Amino acid sequence: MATDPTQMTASELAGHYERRKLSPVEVAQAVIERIDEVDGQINAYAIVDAEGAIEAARKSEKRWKKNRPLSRLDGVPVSIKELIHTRGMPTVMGSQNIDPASQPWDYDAPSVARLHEAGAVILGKTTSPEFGFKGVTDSPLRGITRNPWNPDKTPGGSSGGSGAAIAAGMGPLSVGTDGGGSVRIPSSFCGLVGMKATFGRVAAYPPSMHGTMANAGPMARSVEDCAALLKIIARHDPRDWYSLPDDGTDYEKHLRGGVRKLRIAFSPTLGSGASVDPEVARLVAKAAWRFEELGARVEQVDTPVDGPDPGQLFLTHWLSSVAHLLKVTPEDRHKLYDPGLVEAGRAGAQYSADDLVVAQQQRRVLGHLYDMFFQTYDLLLTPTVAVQPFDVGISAPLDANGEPNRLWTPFTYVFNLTRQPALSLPCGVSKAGLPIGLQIVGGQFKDALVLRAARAYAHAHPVRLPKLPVAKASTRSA
Amino acid sequence: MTDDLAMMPAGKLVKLFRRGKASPVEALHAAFARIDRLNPKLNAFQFQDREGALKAARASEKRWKKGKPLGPVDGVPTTIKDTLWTKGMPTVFGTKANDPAGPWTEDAPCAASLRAAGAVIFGKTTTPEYGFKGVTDSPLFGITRNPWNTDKTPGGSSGGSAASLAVGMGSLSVGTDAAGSVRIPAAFTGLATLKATFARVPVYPPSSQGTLSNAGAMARSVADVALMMNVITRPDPREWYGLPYDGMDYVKALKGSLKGLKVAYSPTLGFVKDVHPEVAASVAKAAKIFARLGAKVTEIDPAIPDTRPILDTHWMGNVSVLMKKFSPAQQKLMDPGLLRAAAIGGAQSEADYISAMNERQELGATLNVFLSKYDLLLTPTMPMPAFDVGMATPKGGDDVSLGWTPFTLTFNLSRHPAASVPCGLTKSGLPIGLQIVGGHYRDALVLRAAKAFEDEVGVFTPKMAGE
Repeated sequence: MATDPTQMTASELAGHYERRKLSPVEVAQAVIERIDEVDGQINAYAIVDAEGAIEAARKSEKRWKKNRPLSRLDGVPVSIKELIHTRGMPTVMGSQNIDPASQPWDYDAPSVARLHEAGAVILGKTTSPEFGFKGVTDSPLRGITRNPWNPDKTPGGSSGGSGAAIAAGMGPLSVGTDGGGSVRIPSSFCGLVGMKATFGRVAAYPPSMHGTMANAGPMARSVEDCAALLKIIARHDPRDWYSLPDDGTDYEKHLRGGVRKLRIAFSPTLGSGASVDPEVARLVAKAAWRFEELGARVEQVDTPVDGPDPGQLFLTHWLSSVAHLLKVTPEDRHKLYDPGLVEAGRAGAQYSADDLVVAQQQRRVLGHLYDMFFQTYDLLLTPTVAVQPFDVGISAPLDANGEPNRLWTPFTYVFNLTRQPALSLPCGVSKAGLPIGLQIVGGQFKDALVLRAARAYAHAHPVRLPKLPVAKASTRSA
Repeated sequence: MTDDLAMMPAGKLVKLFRRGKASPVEALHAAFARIDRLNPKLNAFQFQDREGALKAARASEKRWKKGKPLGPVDGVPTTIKDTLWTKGMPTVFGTKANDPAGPWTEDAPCAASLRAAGAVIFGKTTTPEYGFKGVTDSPLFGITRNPWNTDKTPGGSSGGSAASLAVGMGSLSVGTDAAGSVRIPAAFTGLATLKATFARVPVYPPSSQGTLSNAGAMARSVADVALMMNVITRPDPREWYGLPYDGMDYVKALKGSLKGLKVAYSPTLGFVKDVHPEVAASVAKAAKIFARLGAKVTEIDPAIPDTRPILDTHWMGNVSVLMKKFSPAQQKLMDPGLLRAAAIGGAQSEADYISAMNERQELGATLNVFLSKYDLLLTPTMPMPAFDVGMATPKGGDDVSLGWTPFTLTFNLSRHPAASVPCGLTKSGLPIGLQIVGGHYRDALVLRAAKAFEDEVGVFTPKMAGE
């Protein structure tokens, strides 16, 4: 048993609170110390609210003393991606173009409100590229966020601050956002469990500029923690007009069902034509076939659906949103944006209104085809990302010819388009000592099943991750 | 006796079937007799399959005799709007540009679920091409008329469903509603209908109006709307937006008083300037009836902007893309208004469209919060009663904006459940509709309120139904 609270899972912390072995104040202090110690190298936090966190931890401590915790996660430290609104802390979307003094910042986003109601200790805000527009984490405002497994590498993005923070022991839980893979990519790159639930399951407000592509989602060190966090934030909130009705699912309770008899499809490339890093391909294939040992029926399906090209659909949705952001920003302020964002916005300005209508219609066709696919299969397994974590400072990894490989996330954005639940969990470590993620996708509203399968795998095949270069001496398992 | 079957509530019809007091074949013949007599005046049908329907009715009769009905609407004569697929019957979306040859092998989800519950689907009701306007006429079949006054439109685009139901040419009908197309004709012809929470009623294939569009139950009474809801809300994997199935029994949920419900009454939604005085008075009276029934009624407008331009931008953009499917030669066969709408849509920019999407999203959030403070919102369904046939809008002319039906389109944008029930008649004898709106997923509450109101004011039947 680890004795350093910064290396524990949320469930372990909760167990210690319950048995009075640790207090929320001790843990908050340890985590804040940890941030002081390592975040200079990692740059995962945009804002640390040490005072607020300690105050919340004190209140939690009192509740635990009275045996009246607000939830099982009462007193557990949680970080929030800086694209998500938090009362009392500015949410400038990682951008120099939003003035921190421009708003009173007087309300919490739904997920943050739910966490406060559950007694969680909000540590602060984690970094994001501007408006979460890319799959790595750097910005003119915040600089570069690094991967704790190797600080020369990116933690991925756009919830890279959240991923790096959890992996480096700077709080065991985080809420990220995922409009094209932004929870799953950093979860894969940082050796974590992260989930984009069915669209609408986790309420969000204000609406993202990426509209119905965007989801708030839990990130954690274990499947159990991911389920526990989802249980708290998956609640209806009237401010989110897409928010699904509460269905009362207890995601933790459903974890132990196993995968026996489930029909599972394994798709090595999703028919995307993407080239997958050989080590990623090997580790993911190995993990996929292990589901057979767990009692599932696994079948390789190279091309799950034959329909509209998800890559083109994603680009149309994504780039047109960025184009609109540029359009509503005064031109003389464009130079304050990440040049990559300006480039994306210019590329997005080429579309017509008709193109957008067509893209929406095609998206519905793609979603329909995947819905039909999930009439035949319970789950779909793919790599989470096509590559291993790559060097910081670039927005896309380089291919064999030294050219940027734009097709490095062909597995994640598909399920933003289709709105189906998709989770990433670690399934191995590359020779270079970097974590590799397996993506588990389920049919619409099958969030509990996806978590159950992830738990079955993680339980049978825990991944021993190597020592953290920036960590105090300790080994942990995911 | 058999003629009474045609105007009888479907719920009552099914009870007679159960007791062997009437048969589905008799009920179908009663509907046919009315079609023969009245449809020449109204022109509500795009297609009828009498032979197939008789076969289905006979099969239903056998099931009832064995005491083994398929479902709650077994044997009920039912029609489907020509914008929804039906196996064995053509679906041409009201246009000459589509070939009726078929083979028509697939049912839309509502047609499939009704059929699975035993409904006898005997015809397709008229629609303007692709349901693009709020009245019902097209180059293909001409003008559909209002049974209350045949010089007037029944509204649209589900005008064929409304005109036929109002005089007993069928007991139930499914329409579609992307800006008000089940509620407009329900209001203009004195019927009950519900545009449910978006995707509560699955749809396939997707409408060209995307997430504005809904299939919706239409009937002569709220109880029959609820009965249909029990059937057409069954989940269908083909609907990508399908909501998690909640097993709601809408008929059971009709019971219950309105005591203590917080009801907002908004006569203009804060931006509609031209509500007809007789409509305004009738709806104000309806709000008082809610208060009398025990609801806490507050006159208040939700703080929303004028929703009409938001709807029009979506609408015209969708029409523009739709029309690209048709060759210039096909387009010549189509309603010139449709071409005008497509031209307006095609001239919109990317920025116009994204702004409209963002405004829609904000509107949805604002109304969601409003409807978490109030259980229900009452408005007029339409600002005016039925107007003369031959015009696309009450003002006539070339305008193709849907802005003349502001109360209905608002809730297509926001996806909230919205019912229309008749609340009175104008001096000239035309029905007036009350719109009842609820929070997302509160369809059952909306119907419960509609039923309680209907119990107070009764149902409305045109004289023609007695002919």
